[in-house]
Parts: sequence; C-alpha cells; structure tokens
Amino acid sequence: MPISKVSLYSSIIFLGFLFLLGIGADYVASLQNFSTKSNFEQLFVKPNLDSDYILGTDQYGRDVLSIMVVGTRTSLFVGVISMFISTLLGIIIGGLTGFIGDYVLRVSLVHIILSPFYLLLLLYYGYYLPVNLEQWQHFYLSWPLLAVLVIVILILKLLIWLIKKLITKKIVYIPLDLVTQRFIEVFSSIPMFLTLVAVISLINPTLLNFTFIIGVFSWGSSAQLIRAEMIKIRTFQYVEAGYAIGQGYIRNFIYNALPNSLPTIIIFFTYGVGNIILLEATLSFLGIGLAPEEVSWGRLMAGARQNLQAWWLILFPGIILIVTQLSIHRMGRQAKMKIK
Amino acid sequence: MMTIIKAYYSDIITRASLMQKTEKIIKEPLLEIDGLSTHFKTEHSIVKAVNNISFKINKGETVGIVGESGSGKSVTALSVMNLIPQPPGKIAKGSIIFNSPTLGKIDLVKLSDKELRQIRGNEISMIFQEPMSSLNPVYTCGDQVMEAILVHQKISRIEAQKRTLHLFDQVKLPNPKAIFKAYPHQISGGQIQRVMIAMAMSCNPSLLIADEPTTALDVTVQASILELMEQLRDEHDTAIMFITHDLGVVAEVADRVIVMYRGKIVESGSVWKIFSDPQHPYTKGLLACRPRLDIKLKHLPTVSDFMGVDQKGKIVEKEQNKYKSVGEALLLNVLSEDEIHKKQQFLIKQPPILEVNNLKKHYPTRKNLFGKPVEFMKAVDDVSFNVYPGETLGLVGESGCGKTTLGRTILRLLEPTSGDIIFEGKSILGYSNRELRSLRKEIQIIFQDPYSSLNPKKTIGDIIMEPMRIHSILKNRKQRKEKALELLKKVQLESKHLNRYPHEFSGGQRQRICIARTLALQPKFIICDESVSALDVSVQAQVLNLLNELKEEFNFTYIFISHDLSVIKFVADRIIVMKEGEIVETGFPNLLFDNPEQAYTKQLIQAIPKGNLEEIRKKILKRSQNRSAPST
Repeated sequence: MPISKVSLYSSIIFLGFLFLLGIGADYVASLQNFSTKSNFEQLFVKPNLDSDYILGTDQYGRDVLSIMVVGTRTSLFVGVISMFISTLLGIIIGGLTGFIGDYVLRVSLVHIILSPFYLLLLLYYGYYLPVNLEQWQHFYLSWPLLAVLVIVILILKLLIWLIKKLITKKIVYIPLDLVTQRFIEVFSSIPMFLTLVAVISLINPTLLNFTFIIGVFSWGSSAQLIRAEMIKIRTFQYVEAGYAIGQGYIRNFIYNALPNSLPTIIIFFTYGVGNIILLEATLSFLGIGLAPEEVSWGRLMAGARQNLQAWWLILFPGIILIVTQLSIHRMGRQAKMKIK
Repeated sequence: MMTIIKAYYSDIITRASLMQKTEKIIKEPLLEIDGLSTHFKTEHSIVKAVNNISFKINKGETVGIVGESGSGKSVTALSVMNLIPQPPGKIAKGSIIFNSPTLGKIDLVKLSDKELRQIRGNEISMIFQEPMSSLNPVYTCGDQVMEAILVHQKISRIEAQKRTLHLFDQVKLPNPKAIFKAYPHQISGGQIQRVMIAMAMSCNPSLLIADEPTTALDVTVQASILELMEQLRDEHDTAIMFITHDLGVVAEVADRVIVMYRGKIVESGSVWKIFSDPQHPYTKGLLACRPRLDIKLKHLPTVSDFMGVDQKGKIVEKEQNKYKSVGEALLLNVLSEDEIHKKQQFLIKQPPILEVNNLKKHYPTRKNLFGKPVEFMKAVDDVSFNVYPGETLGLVGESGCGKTTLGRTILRLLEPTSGDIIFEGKSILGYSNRELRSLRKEIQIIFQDPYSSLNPKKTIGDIIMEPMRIHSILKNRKQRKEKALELLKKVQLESKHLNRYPHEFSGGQRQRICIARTLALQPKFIICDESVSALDVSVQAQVLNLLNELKEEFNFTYIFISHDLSVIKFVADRIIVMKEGEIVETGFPNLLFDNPEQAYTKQLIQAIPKGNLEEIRKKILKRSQNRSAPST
C-alpha cells in the first residue's frame, strides 16, 4: 500500500476513534481507575504503568489519561460547533450578499430617510418594553400599547405617502455586498486574540459560551471565502438560466449556488476545525480560554507552567494534539484532491 | 432546380485541367508522419486520441486538418511539437520525420529536450486558438516577440527590436511602434492574433502549425487573417498545418485536406477533390450539414443521414442511405422561392407579438467626482423593431455589437436605460418582481454554452422539473416527472437519462436538455442566444432541425441571435444586422443576401468563407499564379 493511502486510512481511523471517544467520554471516564476528580494527595504523580495513574496526574491530582479522554470531547465540540456557526454565518452573510451583489436590493429613499424612526420603534418595542416593564407579557399584549403601535404605524404610512408625494420618489440601491465587505474589513482589522480576551473576561467562558464566541468571532474569514466562491458561481450561465426560468434570488442561491460551493465549503470547514482546536488549546494554555472547571487538552498543558518538571503534562496532550492536527490536514488534502 | 445542379457541378468539367496545375507544385516532403498513435491514460481506460495516422506535408504547402471536437486534430498538432502533457498523454507508436534545414532528417519523437527546444519556435512554430490567453498580460507585445527572437538567435536587443518592428509591419499591424509598446489587453483580438503570427514567423520557420487560429475571431477579421497567412506562406515558402473545424475556412486556405474522425483519418486529398467528390460518408455528411448561403433548405441533412456507427464504434455506411451524395441531400430539401415569399407575406400581416421601441442600454464607463457617470458604453443604442408571431427573427452581428445585451434586455435579465418593450400589447418595463416571474413563463432563453448553463449538481430530471415547480404548472412530483419524460422524448433523449448528471452528456445532448427545460414552461417566445455556436457542425445541424421542428409543432416565435450568417440564413424568416449597438439593416434573408443595401452588410457577407466550388476554383488559380510568379 502506498504511503499516501496508509496516512489517509490511519487519519480516518484516528479521527473516527477520537469522535467515538468524544461521544463516550463520560462513560469511559466513569470506569474504574478513570476519574477526573481532584485528589490533593496525589499531585504531579509521574506516569507509571503499574499505578492507577498510567499517564500521571496534574496539579490538582487528576488523572491525565481521564482528562485527555474528556478533553477530546471538549476539543471536538469547540472545533466542530464553532466552525459550524462560523460557516453558517459566512454562508448567510457573506455568501448571500456576495451572490445577490450591489445592484439588486432596491429601497425607496423615503425609507432611508425614515430609518432612524424605525430604529427607535424597534428599540422601544423590542428592547425597552420587554426589559423595563415588569410582567411585561401582560402589558405587551394589552390593547392600549397595541393601539399606540397601530397609530404610530398609521402615522408613518401617512408620512411616507406625503414624502413620496411632495419631496422625493427616488429609489436607491442598497449595495449589500459593499456594506458587508467593509463591515468584515473593519471587523477583522481588530485583532481577534485581543477581542477574545476582552469578551471572555466579560462573559463566563463555559464550554457553550466559549464555542459560541469563537464561532461568532471567526465568521469574517469564512464569509470572505464563501463570497469569493459565490462571485465565481454567479457568472455561470446556469445561475442566469435560473433567473430566466423564474427563480427568485434566494431560491436560485439555495438551488444553484449552494450545492456548487459545497466542495469549497467542506475543505474550508475541515481545515477550520483544526485551526479552532489549536486556538482553543492555545487560549486555555495561556489561561484565558475555557473556565477553570472545564477540562481540555490546553488546560492540562497549562499545569506544566506551575511545575516545569512535569513533562508528561506537555508530552501526552501535545502528542494527541499534533496527531489530530496532522489527521485533519490529511483529510483536508484528500478532500481537495477529490474535488479537483 | 436545374440551375442549382448546374451551379454545383459545372466546375467539375474544368476539374481535370485544374488538377494538373496543382499537381505540379508538389515538392519534397517536409514532414512525414507515419503510424502515429497518441494515447491518454485515464483512471479506467486508455483513450486513443490519435490512432495510427499517416500523412505528409510538403514544403510550402497548406494542409488543412478538419474534424469535430474529439477527433484528435489538436492532439496531432501537439504531438508534432512534442507538447503532449506527459503523463497522462504518451506518443505510443509511430514516427514524425521532420526534414529540418539545419539538422537534416530527424524523428521528432526521439529527440532530446534540448534539441526539441531548438526546433520549437525556430523551425516549427505554432499559433493557438485563443488570442486573449496566448500572450502574457504582464509584458508588452513587442517584448514578447523580441523574446521569441532572442531565444533562438544570438543578436543584440536593438537588432531584435528592429526585426520585431519589421515583422509587425509585415503582418500589417497599424502603427507598429505603438503596438510594440502596447500590452495585450490594449489591442483587439485580431491584432493580438497578428502579433502571434509575427511571433510565429519571427524565426522564419519552415512549418507553421495553426490550431484553430481564427475560430475566436469575427468573420471580417478572420478573412483578413487568412489572407495574411496565405501571403506570408507564399513569401517565405512556409508549410502550414491548418487545423480547424470549419470546412469553409479550409476551402479558403488549404491545398490539401485531411478529414479526421475519432482519432483516425477517414479521407484525404486535394481540396478540390474533397469538396467536389467526397468519398467517405462522414465527409459527405460534414459537407452537407453546413448551412448554406446560396439556397434555403427546409431541413438540414445531418451526418447520420449518411452514416451510422455500430456498437464497436466502427463507421458503417447505412444500408438504406437517405441520400447518396451531397448534391442529392441538398436538392431534396430546397425550399422554393414561392414558398418563402408566401410565408413572409403571411407573417408580417399579423399584429406583432413583441415591439421594441427606442431601446437603449448604456453602461457607465467613467464617473466624475460625485459618482455621476459622464461617459457611457452604448451597448444597445436606440433600437426599434417588431417581431411577428410564428417567425424566426435572426439577429446577426460581430462580437461586441450588442446583440446579446439586446436579447437579455428583452428578457429583463438586464434593466434597459430607456425605451420600451411591449409584449402582447403590454409594456413589460413596469413589471414588478412577481409579474416578471410570470413573464418568464412566456419568454424563455436558450443559452450559448451548454456546458455552463446546466447546474452540475442536479440531475436532468431535477433540472427539467424545476421550472414547472416554480410556476406550479403540474400538481405533484409524479405528474411533473411524467411530463419531464415526455419532454425528453421530444428532444430525442431517452427516459433512462432522467437520473443522470449533466457531465455525462455531450454538448449537443446538453443543449437538448436546455431546450427541454425551456419547453417545460410552454413559452410563446424563445430567445436563442448563440444556441448552436458552441456545437460541432454535425450536432449544430441536428439542433437547428430540432428547433425548427419544435417551432412548427408549438408555433413558437424565435429571436435567433448568432454571429454566423449562414446559420442565420438557414433559420431566419427576417434578419436584423447590428453594429456597435445600432441596427444597420433589416430585411428578408433572400433579399438581404442577394442585394445588401449597406456597405457593412456587404462586407460581412463577403467575409464569410463560402466553401463552394466556384470560390475554391478561384483560390486554386490565384495560388498557382502566385507561386509560379517569382520563379518565372
């Protein structure tokens, strides 16, 4: 068997094993001899095949092997779910706006003039009322407030009609793609590392929060990539043929553009998962990642900072991290080759 | 009808004397290809792109290699240059003996890389099809030609520059000094092709391989390039291997013609012999299926009328051939003048189905400081015409004349700048998105490129059912599927094709799938935007026949957009000639072709390679005169 096949199959087997381990982590960790509980009598125990702690213990006296098993779940969860969020945002924001382009969404100038009012209305009914009124459910649904809303809408309608009649009827394009692009540029000019540190200090970084934050903060690059793909696909004639048979923009996007950009998205996703697993490990190692009570490979490695003699805290999680990375990259390469 | 027979066969009488004249020119062979086979290895099998072919090219002779896509003509050219990508390609067998002026007789297959480099570009040079991508965009045109000279000859840069300017002058580029400093994107496609020819001729090669050099060019430009190549050949005594799919072009330039089909040579002979008396059924089919300029046919003969292919891929002459010869195939299908006239009168008496009034589509090319456009590219400029129900309106013009923009604006895939489009008595410009969508049911478009107009990730069934689903034409999936099967049958495809993906089909089949998708909506009005331009002639004939049959059956109205006047002549009931966004001339085909009013139309008609015997005879005479002139 050629070496490329060997590496491919071993990657698949390794990732499959990790995945199963991630799913069954709690069960494995609950087995005898496996425990992530602290044991302050057994701090920094060296790896020893004969003892209970095959791979040693960390600064809290927890079993390294058990932590690595449970940490698998953390890493995979953070990697896959936050990449999923990021890709989804990328498709919706970057892909759709790139596909639709600058010269499609048309709005009467009136609405742009009145947009501050709309915003105020939205803020009042959507944020102020629900937050500041006790028992707001009752008030919200009671008739005086609704009546006020109806009156406000009527006044607005009248205003729109008047402006259209007297001042301007002009229709302007909203350059969706342009706006999104500038927004992404501003967004990505802020260093992500610093942003993450700032945000994590504000919110308790539980596993779920942390995953969500990373997903939301890394959508910029996926949006740009998917947008580039969409702009390429937009020029294909089957897209135009779609409009010609009467498809709308969204339908054309879902029917034609999305299936054809899927290969690129899959490659991007695969590499992205690897990157985020690494990012999580880095942040946790530095102590600004996941909350201390969460168990992860990076957190485990952070223990070595307290005791530089504890090489096993770096070596074992390090090996699993590197092998995971290599496997993911091998898979990504395979996906690339397959698509070409 | 007798006149046509006469026109077709009159020249055969003079044939014998002519043949003798051309025969005399033959000199010693320059290139001898013997038993050449080039194979490509794919995952599953070996593709024999070129399969055991042998031919010769003599000094100073033009040999035209004709064939449809996949016939192996380009691979032959690349094999001669030894430029086959290896792997997957490989010259499996055979020899290519080149009679080099410096090295003597050598086998190109066995040469080392270093020796090959000496030959390439120096003694054998090549011109490619796509002018836009064959020059490097980061160097000026002059630089690139100089580079070609400097690689092979040890002369100073100043000397090379002088030579380049002289070459530019020879290939009749206007203002050689300006072109020398220009980047490829700053000059037109025809000019780029001239620069390419200058580069190819820079080292005075004894063999020039031209791989579809004029395919991407407009007819008028093509005519001038062909003339130039011929002139250079006679001046420098260069042999040309001219590869093309267009029989008309071959008739213009070649001394001898080689017809290739599926990697094999099916027939070869002098241009006169091939055109006046083709022997192989495939050649007959090819000759017959070209739309003609001189007569109007009801139905185009196709290659399959002449021959069939058995299961092993071997060509068999059909037992009950529809036609015996090219002449017969044409004669049986001629439409008489009376029929044409009657139809024309009937069509224009009706109220028009579509009126286009003063339509303009301008693109801003420059904007001032405040984003207000100050200069425009006038893609369509003040165009007005009517289309009558049941007619085919041919829209013809060279690239960039705005014909495609016009088609798309009528469909409202593009928004017009000003003007009005009235469809069935209602202006469609004010339509909202929803109204537009229902309009799309009535007006449909068939695109040029069958390869990119089908979504590669959907099955054929999906593609055909999608329009029905959008407009909820039938109630459920089962009914739609039945309808899709019916449509597939209508466009001569089989029901087993329903679950396949577009990449499994050939160009012609894909174009038929596009037609089926269009039919699914039962439109009244179809815009065919260069719908047959990307197809081979034989497939083109089939698709054109299909379009005509469907028109008869469903009483469609077509706007047929094309750059090819002969195709337009075959399909159209009326013709509009466009140039630079404006209508130059409108008229019935027979009148327009016999008696064009505008100079531009005349020029356009003259530039088409006719490929008829009268023209070939003239060419051969002219050539033999040119050749004998210097020696006497």
